Amino acid sequence: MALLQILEPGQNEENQHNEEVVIGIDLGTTNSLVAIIEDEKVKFFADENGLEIHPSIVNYDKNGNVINVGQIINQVQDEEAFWKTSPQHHPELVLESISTSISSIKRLMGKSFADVENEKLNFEIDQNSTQKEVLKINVGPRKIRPAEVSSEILKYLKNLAQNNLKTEIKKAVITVPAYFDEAAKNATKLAANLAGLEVLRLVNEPTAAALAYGLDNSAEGIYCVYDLGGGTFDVSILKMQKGVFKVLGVAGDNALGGDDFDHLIAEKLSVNLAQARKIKEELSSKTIANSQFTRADFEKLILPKIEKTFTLTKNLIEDLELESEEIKGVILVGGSTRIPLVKEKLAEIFSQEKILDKLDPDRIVAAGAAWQAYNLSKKSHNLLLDVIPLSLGIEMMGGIVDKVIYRNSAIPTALTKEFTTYADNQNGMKFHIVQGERELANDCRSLAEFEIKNIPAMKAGLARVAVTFKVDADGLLTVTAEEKITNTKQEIIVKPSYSLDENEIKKMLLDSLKNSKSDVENRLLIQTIVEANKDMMIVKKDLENSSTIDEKEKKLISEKLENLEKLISEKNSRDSIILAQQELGKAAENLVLRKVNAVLNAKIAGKKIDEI
Amino acid sequence: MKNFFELFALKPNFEIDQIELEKKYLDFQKQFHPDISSSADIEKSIAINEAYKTLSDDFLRACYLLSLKNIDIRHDEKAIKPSTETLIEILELQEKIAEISDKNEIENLRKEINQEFKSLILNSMNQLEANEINLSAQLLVKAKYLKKSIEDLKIRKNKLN
Repeated sequence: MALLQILEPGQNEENQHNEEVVIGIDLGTTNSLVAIIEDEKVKFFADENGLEIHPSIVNYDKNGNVINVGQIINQVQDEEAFWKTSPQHHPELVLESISTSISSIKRLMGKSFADVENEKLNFEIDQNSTQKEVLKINVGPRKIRPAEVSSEILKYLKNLAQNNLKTEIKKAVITVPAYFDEAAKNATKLAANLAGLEVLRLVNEPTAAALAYGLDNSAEGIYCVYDLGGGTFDVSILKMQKGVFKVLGVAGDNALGGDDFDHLIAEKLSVNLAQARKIKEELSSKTIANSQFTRADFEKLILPKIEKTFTLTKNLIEDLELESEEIKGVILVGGSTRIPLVKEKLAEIFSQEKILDKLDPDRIVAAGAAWQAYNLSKKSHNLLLDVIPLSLGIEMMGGIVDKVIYRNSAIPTALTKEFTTYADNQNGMKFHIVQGERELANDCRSLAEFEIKNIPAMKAGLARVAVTFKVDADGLLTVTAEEKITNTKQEIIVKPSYSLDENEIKKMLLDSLKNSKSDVENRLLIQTIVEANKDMMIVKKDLENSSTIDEKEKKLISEKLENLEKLISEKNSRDSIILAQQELGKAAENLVLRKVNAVLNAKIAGKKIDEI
Repeated sequence: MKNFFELFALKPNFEIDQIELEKKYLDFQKQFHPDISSSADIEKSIAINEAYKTLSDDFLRACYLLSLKNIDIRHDEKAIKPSTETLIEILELQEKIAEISDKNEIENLRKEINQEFKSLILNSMNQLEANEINLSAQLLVKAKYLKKSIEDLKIRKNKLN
């Protein structure tokens, strides 16, 4: 049966006719955003509360089911205020049902168990993994990988856009730190696939910021992007001219960000991380917080970390054989650039007027992602020419790395190197591919190992094996090895040694497809039950506390309560639960109203007239 | 296949118009980059990146000009043997770098080596012009060693930080 499509009034026609909308996503350590370009302007998608910045947090219940995404639990602490603003919502049951709350998952993307052994995390890592395996997180009875957590955030963002645009979304541009290695990039792509999104492009975050700034201001010339986010530091230098954004070079540190400052404060003042973060944020506008801890104390604490970012910045300028005078402006990205010390120090390297701090550091990356999504889907004339941030090489005899593609090479790129045998009649050759700048393979990140076999018997040094490294526009690597004499060819898509194997990925994808429908239904049912439980709890509490209720009203409410309780206990259909919940709400309407009035009256009674 | 100079329609000289080169490079990428063109052109985009990288850098361009005369000093370790004096000079330089520990000294030495590196490239290219190919290659091999020394100094400096 053909269904007639009906346009909703006010809906953007462009989105209806154009078969595909590509969304831009800033998948951040602390917060995430999703946006598109509409009428040549950036449009961010908001949640039901109108907020456009979504905390990168996934909350799970004790069975390992997702309860919600983007909700910070420890923000709902002031119960009284909560009652007043929304008497129909009650946080207690939601809070109770959350058994694991996962934040800052981005720091773990593509990491192995060994990588995080000594890191402080606010959730539990499965201790049974082997050192080289992708780490897993214990969530109730489930063991989940960081990519799966990340995919929940991506699904949430996709749905925000879908619900707003009333159209299915299948493609996205996602930003990643320039210093993300192959494993982290691959894990991000996997997360997107699990969320039902094809990644048109992974864009480096600082590049995205420059793109947004450049397109907004028709900027021309050389610009520096200083990006100090929650978990990572990146610095990029770009040249913008006539709609082409050419990255000249990037540098950074994958484990340096605002989270580290929180940890330092928490340790120094013996407070929890949420409190530490609040103190840090306060000190951006005030000179003293928490009665004794001053901005000067804070600056002293973080100075070594901040200095590191400036060393990286200065070295990059030097590597590119530029003078700081040649740089026209410095674009600030990431919440940590609000720290006054960062701006002061930047003004020492560049000059004060070059620091572009009027931009919104929280939104500029998402805006850039949206622009790149727009560029790729509309085939606009703007072009982004990016580079690879880390060198790629092969381990040679003695563990020395022979670099095949150097960092800051423009992508796409390819290079071939020839290798030969070192023993007579050697019939195989092993290759170990690594990523990084250090001289020894052991100090670099191991990407993959492969072997070329069946080399015909011949004298040492006669066989010729050509190894080709090819890096695509996303910065992802493919390696081909060809034995020239017999023309034996082998191709491998490089995945980090400790990454998921092909079958594992297939299984995860299949599972997510198979379960996606029941997943959604289950989740909706859980959400409904949580909501209904909240309501029941409020009504019960009010029943107990109410002295003025008449028997008839009480009996009706009790009946409705029982009915709803029964439906919940047998996990009846979502619709019937919602219906019973609505009936309960109706029956208890007067009761709740009386309570709210009483609370308000109590508040008012205690105050002078001019305070109301 | 066209050589890199032919690709950019430039004469195979050491002196080239960098602004013109960059302009052509951007025009090419606007045509062939995978974001704009069909995926079939990715090979062209790769070739253009490689050619631009080579031609826009003085040392790489010099090496490329020499490789057009069939001497590949970048990829073939045995192409040209450096003279004994050069080897001794480089060894002494390396010892100096291994011992240096003052930031200002590093900076001064870096400037000094960099200057020699640049003048070696120019001299080498002058010899090439005069068709003294072997002499040209000798000078460029020395430049190659100095380039490595500049890298080593950078590493040394970062270690001190």
